[in-house]
Amino acid sequence: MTDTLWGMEITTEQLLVGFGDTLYMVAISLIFSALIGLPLGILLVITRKGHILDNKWIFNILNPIINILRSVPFIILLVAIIPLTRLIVGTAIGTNAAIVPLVFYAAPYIARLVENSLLEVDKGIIEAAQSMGATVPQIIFKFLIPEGLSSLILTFTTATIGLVGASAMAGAVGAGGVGDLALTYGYQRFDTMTMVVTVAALVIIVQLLQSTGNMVSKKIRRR
Amino acid sequence: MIEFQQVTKSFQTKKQTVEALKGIDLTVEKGDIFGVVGYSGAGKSTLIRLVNLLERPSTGQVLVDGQPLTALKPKQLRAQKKKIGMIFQHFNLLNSKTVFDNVAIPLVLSGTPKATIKTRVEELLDFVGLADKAKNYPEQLSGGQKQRIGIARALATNPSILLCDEATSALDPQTTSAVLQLLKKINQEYDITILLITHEMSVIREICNKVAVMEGGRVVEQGSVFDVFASPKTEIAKNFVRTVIHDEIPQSVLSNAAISSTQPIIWKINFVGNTSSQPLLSTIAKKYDVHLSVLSANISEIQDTPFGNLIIEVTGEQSEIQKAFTYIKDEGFIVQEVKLYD
Repeated sequence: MTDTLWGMEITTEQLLVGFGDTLYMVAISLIFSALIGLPLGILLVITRKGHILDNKWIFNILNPIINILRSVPFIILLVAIIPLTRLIVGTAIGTNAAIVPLVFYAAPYIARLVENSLLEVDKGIIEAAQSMGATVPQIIFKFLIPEGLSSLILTFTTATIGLVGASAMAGAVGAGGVGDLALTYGYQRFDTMTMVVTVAALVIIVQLLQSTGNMVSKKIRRR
Repeated sequence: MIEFQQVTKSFQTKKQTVEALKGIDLTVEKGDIFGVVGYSGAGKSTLIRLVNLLERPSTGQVLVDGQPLTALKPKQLRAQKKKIGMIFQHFNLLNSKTVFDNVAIPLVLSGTPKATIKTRVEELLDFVGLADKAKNYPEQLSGGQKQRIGIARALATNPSILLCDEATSALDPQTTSAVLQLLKKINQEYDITILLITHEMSVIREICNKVAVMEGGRVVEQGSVFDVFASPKTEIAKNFVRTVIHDEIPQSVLSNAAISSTQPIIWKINFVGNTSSQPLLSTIAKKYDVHLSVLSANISEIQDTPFGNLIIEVTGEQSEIQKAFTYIKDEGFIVQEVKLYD
């Protein structure tokens, strides 16, 4: 305990590792949930009535599934899908194991947020695209996404912050990370200083994410 | 060029079926600037959207260049759409892209080489007079400028048809006039057939050569702009014409003592073209023993032809009045007696 700071029970190294774990978990699960959530969100938009791929079957199946996944509390989800987690990463404990439930948590969330962002895009833009004879992929990638990009950036900022929060709970399966330090040392061992420092670290992470997101979004929106 | 054959369109809402179009037969010839006028809900928006299949007809056919659109395969249809440009009331430009990129987009979609796109877009921006705005974003432009960009974008793929969906309805009168002149120039210089819909009869007067009046999903009157303006037949067409040509006796004149007798003889005379410069009134007054007083008069221009409306009260001997009436008719004017009290 030579390398402690401000009387914390944890070492600076522990804190740094925690930081690294949080970033790792958030980054990897963000990538995977975006890969799943973004297409689902787009699908939710274009299959709705009157849109470019109007399909009530896909929409009416997808829509409730996303709602159901979104209703399950993260801590329950974490435990409930342990068999699946074990199947995918080979273990149910540790940082990598936390990524699976985090993706299950964030992907439907992102799908819903993407849907909202893209629904903001003026229908007239889509109509213009159709009048030019654009194909469905062209409408998505040349019209829908560029026009909704500024809003999508904010969507992903919100999703990332959501993941930072959820990753703290992943400590329950021994995932590590800043949130885990706050829980195990700060809360359970009454180490106030560790609690304050780790929570402050989380606050800083969230602030940085939000202001970066706002800045990028604003730059794209040009308004 | 564009042919509507027995076209109907109905929309299914939860509770009922709404018939937006109830059997449309309409032909737009090559080189026309064809205007469709009607109040909102008349079905004109649906009508114009049938031409590039933004809406599909429920029954009947829409032919473009003799080809029924609904029979085309998706790929053929996309190719056909490149020959049909469209501009919109709210411009529908991409806010996230520069003016240059907005105009370039139809070319990008069809995989045109970059160098070709650059020359074409510069040429188009030059044509609409906004070459200096290439690097700007749409929200930095005024409404009129945005519509010019919309026009440039619609022309990018060298279409033979331009559809204008209330293209000037969001613009102020001066800007409207400038945009309409631009459309006229497009029609003349590029030989592009224009189909436009509007609720403003002044738009029709300013640039169209043919007009169709719509009401309740039907075309109730159509013909050359000149004919419809000179002698509208249906009540709704009369109402529309009245919004730009005032052929009624002003209320103040009516109530004034200007009308002497209790059963005045009032004539409405229409002047067309060169006849409007003839000194008709003074000739009548000299030739026949009648007195004329002008109740209302105006001259407007339709299709570059002067079109005059004159309402006069005639007093004098019955026989002289009759002779004068015949004289006006023989001289080639359209004259009719107006009954004040029906």
